[in-house]
Amino acid sequence: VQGIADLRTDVEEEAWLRVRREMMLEALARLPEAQRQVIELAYFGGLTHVEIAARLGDPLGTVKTRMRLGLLKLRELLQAQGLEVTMR
Amino acid sequence: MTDSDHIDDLIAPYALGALEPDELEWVEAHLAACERCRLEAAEAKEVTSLLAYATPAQTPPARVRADLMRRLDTRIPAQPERLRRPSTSWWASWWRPVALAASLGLAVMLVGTASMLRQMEQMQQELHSEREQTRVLAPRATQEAQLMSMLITSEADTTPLRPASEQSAASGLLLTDYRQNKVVLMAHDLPALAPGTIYQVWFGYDNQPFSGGVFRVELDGSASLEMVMPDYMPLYRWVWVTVEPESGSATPTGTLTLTGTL
Repeated sequence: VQGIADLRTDVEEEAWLRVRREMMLEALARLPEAQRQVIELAYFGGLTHVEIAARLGDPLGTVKTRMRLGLLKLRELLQAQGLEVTMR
Repeated sequence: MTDSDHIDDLIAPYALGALEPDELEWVEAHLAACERCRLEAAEAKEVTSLLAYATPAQTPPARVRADLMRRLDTRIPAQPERLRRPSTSWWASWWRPVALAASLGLAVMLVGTASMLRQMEQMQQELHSEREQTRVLAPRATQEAQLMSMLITSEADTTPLRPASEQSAASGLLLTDYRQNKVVLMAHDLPALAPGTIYQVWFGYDNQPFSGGVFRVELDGSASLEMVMPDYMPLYRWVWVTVEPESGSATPTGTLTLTGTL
């Protein structure tokens, strides 16, 4: 019985993960291009903000601001989709 | 910077892991001292931790999978072996019930025969100890399945743990489930513990290490430990495994065995 319960939990979990993934991809897609770019280069590309600024030829301050605005916007978009982003 | 007392413009790069090393050091020092920025950073990290869900490949890194498969390969088939008596035993498992029945029959006929009674007692003890082993091993198998589910679904972040000494072959992985603020440590090839000692896990983001718990190693040098973290997990910056006295220590005192940067 425990095994079946675990399996069911796994299936539910997997389904929920897929939903979250879709939500996250959609939120990213809805970010302004410049903000999405710096977030992706940092998070998925592993570049520092200095490297990103150099690569894009943008001032450092602009890159940092885009990161900040991008994360705020992302949070807002995710919350609008009902994905809870809460503090502990 | 909007406020010279705070580090608003560095929080997003920090949460995205995009600070230069010297900045990171400075930001961490600031976060340790400034509650407002610490909360902001935790909030930003909450968003960036969700970015993991958007990772194009949901498959865990090859290294992680290989590590997991190696672990499952060596452990799951190993369990029945552990439950079985050595083959040199006179009561091989297939005829154990027959032996048991025969023993009982003989025992009835030879009531009072001390050797037979001793034998029965011994068999009972062995059966009891096997049941006990099953009881201990079954939850472990469930835990392995959960670990696999965590990994395959990319639920967890993985952090490699490295040996503190070059002579050591010890290795480990830390799986972090940010959603549940839960951490699972899996280690291999740990040196056997001297009597009266135990391994202890430590986490920290400043100079105050937090004890994640203590654990022993199995005969093959492997170990796993699940921990629920008291603080928001992304705040922690490092993890250590040390050897401590059996009762555990309040701060790390013994030999550093494994280290990891979170």
